[in-house]
Amino acid sequence: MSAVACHQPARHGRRAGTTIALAGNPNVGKSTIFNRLTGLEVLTTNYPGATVELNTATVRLDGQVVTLVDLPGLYCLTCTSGDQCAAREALLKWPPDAVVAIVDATNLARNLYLVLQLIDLGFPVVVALNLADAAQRAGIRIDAQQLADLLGVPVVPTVGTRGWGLREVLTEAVRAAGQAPAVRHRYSPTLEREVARLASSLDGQIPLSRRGAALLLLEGALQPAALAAIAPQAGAALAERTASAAARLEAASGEPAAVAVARERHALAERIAAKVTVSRGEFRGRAAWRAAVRPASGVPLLIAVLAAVFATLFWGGGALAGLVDGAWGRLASPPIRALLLALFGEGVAARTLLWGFDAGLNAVLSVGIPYVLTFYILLGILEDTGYLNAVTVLLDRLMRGLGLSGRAALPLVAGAGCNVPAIIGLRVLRTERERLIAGTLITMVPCSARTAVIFGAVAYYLGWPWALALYGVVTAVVLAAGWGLNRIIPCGTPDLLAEIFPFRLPTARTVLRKTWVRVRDFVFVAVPIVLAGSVVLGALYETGLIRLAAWPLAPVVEGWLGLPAVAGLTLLFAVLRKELALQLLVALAVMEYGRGAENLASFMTADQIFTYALVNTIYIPCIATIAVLGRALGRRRAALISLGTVALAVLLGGFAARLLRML
Amino acid sequence: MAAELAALRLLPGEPVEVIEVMPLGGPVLVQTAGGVYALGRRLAGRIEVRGDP
Repeated sequence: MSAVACHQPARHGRRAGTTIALAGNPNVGKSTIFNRLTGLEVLTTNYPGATVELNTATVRLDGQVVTLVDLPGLYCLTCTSGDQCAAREALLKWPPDAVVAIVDATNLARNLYLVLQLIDLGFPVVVALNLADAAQRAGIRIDAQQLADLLGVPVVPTVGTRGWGLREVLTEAVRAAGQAPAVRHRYSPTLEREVARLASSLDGQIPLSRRGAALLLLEGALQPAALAAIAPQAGAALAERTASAAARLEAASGEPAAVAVARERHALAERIAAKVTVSRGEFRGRAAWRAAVRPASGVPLLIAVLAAVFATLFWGGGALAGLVDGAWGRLASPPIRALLLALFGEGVAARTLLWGFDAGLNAVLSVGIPYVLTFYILLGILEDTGYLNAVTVLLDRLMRGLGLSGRAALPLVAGAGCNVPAIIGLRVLRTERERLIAGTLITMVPCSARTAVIFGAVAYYLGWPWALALYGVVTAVVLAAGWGLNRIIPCGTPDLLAEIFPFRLPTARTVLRKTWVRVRDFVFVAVPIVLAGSVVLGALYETGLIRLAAWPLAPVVEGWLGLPAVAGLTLLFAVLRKELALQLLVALAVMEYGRGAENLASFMTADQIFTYALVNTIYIPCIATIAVLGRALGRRRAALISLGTVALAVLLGGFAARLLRML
Repeated sequence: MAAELAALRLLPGEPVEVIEVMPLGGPVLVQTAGGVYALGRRLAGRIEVRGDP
């Protein structure tokens, strides 16, 4: 089995070869299995909502081309948020040839609900009984063969993290592709009668099984108009027949049709699970969960976690930065310098190139990478333990004050890694209002690149209390902005509805793999930009044009913010990448004062370094963030948010500069 | 949201155990046969729970 195409955004319609969708409840290991099957590196977490878009890849299995589609997690086929709508659309509008239903073996009955729904819809289904190892540890044993017999579809026990059973799953899915399963399960006679009556009135051209479509109509998960668009002759008559069937079902069951269908499917799932479960386990780690979400213990724990992250970044990242900088000065800088001077002589060209290939690269390696690497390792650990899931509950009350539900804490925390995936992750939020508020706040959350600036400038030169103070200011700004937006933008905040997952021990392999994926992206994107930026700035500097270029900024940069004009010029480059500004500033210092003078404190006061980092942290998000913000919220809103952050940063920077001078 | 609640087995008549009630209007943690869930206080407030006799 080998991957033959890259991770790519989903295309609608037919894909190459056999299309197999990976579906399942949130947090059952879909992306882990997708990664294992494709060799790709979609990021995985121990909390729901990590996958918000369709990931597709093409693999070869015994010479056959198979397109795999990794769907966002869903509990049922209703559309309540962007990620769930994407999953539903992928299944209903462009039905795959087969569906691998990935279920959590530690919570079989609840997971079978979706499996039954998929079988009802007529998909060729293969069940991957995932987390088989966790089930075994919890004392749960499931008879996979009996489960297959009862469902009428193949069932393969799997351990996604180790790759166990995955080839068998894929082989079974390819074998099942295109063959509609014989539905063995049956609901109550009353429900089956209504389903059969409604199904018989549906046109045969719909892209779903008629039984499945009838059930969806009764559940209210599919509007008759949606089917009428495909089969116009059904039209209003179908809506009428659906309403009549729902009314009869309601009269017979004493509850709304949607509830009656859900109850019957749950009851069936429960009966099947009870038959195949040899021994049962229980939700473990409840005490740890309680400690993590109760404010009395959860808030101190959160502060301790944040302090540990801060301390590791300060001492660990700082030590790594010093190590890399020293090694660069001893081992890399002299030969680079000698080579460029030998090739280009002592002229402007050589000095300009030295900006990029010596000072620029040194800045990337000693300012950017150490802090980014350290931060991503810590984020990976937090993600995989499931602690961030607890944070959504703990912070729900606070988030409501900002017009958000606790669920928004996940993209906000993800924003501390990188704003881009965090904004893409807004799709897990239920309302446009929530997405707008969260999207605005994310642009102000210090991402790993800004963290590199804060630690590489403020903590490194001024000490950790200054860095802590800067984080305090930024946190206050984010809270105030959220509070204000909650009052300005009409409509209420949606309620939290989140599943609680047990804590898990992260594996070193997964954390290091995720860190590598993220740092690799950082290196491959950042290095060329920093090189190019350094060379451009170098050319401006070496030709003396830098003073000219900095001149228009002088009233704001020198007059209001009290910064050196050239420092203001580097801020302009930060729209490409946030840490680029600091890296260019370090490069500027090296070129201005020679090696050893990368100490910002040699030409900036403590007040100026703090103000510089504050402005850089808050003002305009990087260009990649602006682009995804435009896609998520619209170009106008993205432009407004970007300009708003510039105004806010300049205003705050000026006040901070004056306040610091007074202290 | 009703369909999602139903899929999570938060249905009328289903047994629910309240595990934790967060102070200051925070969410309520409940365990059902389907799993453990955090419900926002307004949502939880709309669910009527009767104790065991």
